[in-house]
Amino acid sequence: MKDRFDEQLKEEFKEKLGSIHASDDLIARTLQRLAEEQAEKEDPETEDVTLTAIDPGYITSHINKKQKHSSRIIMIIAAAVSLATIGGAVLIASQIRAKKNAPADLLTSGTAVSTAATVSGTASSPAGSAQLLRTEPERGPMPRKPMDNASYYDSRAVYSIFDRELPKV
Amino acid sequence: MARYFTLPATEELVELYADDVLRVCNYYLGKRSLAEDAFQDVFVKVIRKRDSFAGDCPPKYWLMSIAKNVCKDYLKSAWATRIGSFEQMNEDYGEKDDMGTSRSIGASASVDGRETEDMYFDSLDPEGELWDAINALPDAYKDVILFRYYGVLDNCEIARILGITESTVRSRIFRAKKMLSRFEKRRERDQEALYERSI
Repeated sequence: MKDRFDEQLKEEFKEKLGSIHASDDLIARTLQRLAEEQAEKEDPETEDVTLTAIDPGYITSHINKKQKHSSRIIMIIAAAVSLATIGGAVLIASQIRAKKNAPADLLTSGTAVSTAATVSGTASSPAGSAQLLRTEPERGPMPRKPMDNASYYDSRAVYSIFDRELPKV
Repeated sequence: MARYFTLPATEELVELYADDVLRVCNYYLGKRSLAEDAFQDVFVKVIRKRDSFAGDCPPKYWLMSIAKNVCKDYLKSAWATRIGSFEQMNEDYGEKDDMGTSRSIGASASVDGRETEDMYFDSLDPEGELWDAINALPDAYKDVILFRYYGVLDNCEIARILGITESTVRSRIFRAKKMLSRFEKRRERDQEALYERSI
């Protein structure tokens, strides 16, 4: 019985594996690969050197890609710098214009009033001029008075009027 | 005095033992395309390991042993594991590999214990062939069975090639045959029952 099973197993192996043959193409490909491997192994110049087969086309394309990438970065930086410069220039120009316009009106009117007051004070008496000088509006921020409840609610009322939507016509 | 074998040139090895190496690769991997990839790797490994040939066995068996190791590396690799899981999924839908074999899960698990045997029978298709059962054997059993029934070697030679003791070879062959004969008996019984039912 055991021998019969042994024979059966042998037959099974013969039947299933015996039909498999390596094709000429596979052998040729293998021999080619072996030749490459052997050439790499036997080359005395490449001793202790790990060889990596890199396509030169791949290297040039890689360099080109890197160059493109770096030039793109430079372009972005240049654009950002020029934008910042333009923005800064516009800001400075607007500040200069604001300084030129607003303080000039205030200064001219204030000076005119004070000059007139001084002149009139000088004309009448020195005491009067001193009085006039005392009544001159003080520079700097006005001290804020604490708001009492009534005025607070008044201001809220004003706001609430403005907050309201206008009736549709 | 032991016979001393010499290793021919690699090109000659390819010409002489291409079929044997490809068969071993097919036996372990099941797929022809995978086996052809492994086939090339086997001979590349032969070039690198040429100096390690001790000359204590014929070159054919030394090549078969290298082929076995290369195929096991293939099966262990992450790529093969992924492919394997995909194939397992296909098998669930009734597909089979090139050799008409449905490779079972858990077949390459540990050798010892009755659990392995039970797992082995659970994984087998009761209507499958004997070849399916051979393929589903745990790896350690597959090795000895291959060298015994394909290589037609005795226990001593198998032990030397696989680097295990002779008694281990004997016990593995015994267990493998026991599992296979159990499968074969069950299959014959099922076929008889089917035949009687048809009558």
